[in-house]
Amino acid sequence: MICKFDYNKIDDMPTTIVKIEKKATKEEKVANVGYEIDYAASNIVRKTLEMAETLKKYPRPARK
Amino acid sequence: MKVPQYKIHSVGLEEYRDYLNYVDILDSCKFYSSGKSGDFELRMLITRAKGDSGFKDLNLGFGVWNEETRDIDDGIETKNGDMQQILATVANRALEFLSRYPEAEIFAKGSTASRTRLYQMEIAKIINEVPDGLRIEGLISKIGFVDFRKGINFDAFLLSAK
Repeated sequence: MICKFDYNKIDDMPTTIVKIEKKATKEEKVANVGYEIDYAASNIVRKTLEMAETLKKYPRPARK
Repeated sequence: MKVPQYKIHSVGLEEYRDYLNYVDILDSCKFYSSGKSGDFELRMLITRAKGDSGFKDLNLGFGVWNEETRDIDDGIETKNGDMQQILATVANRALEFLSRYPEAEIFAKGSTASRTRLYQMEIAKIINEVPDGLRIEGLISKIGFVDFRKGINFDAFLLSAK
């Protein structure tokens, strides 16, 4: 048996909608989390400030 | 140094723009640790407190980069068995920095006492190979900085050019 495809009925055929979720770009990720970051508590900042305090407390020896 | 090193990639200051209100970033790079535990992006920064000037009070920080917090996590252990390679990569970059800025003094301290001890042991291994022009000092609490020597427990380290 040969099935013929009726192109005139194409509009009546059920359709499946494929949803493609947009992947967040790097910039969007940064924007999303930016407000959550406590910069004063960050390792980068904290360790730098701790270093400055330590070097005030312990002056370096005189260089030869 | 004979230990192999990771390939370094520079990182622009725009990646840290929000930190620039608090610190100056004088050097920034990244490299990747690969091994049995996976791939980790590590970043190294040489920073100075905002408002300071000169090159005497610089901090060397490095660790695994956390993309979500946009911060270095220096408490993570990659467990890739490449600590020596990581330290060699960081040390080499610090030496490059000192060759560019011979007046610089770079402070380094582990995130924990045991991490600082680990750095101390690694420094002790290569102390005899350190170029003549490089000075490594160690900090002893309540005493101050002294020349690095094997067998002494230090709380932090200071790298500078002689």
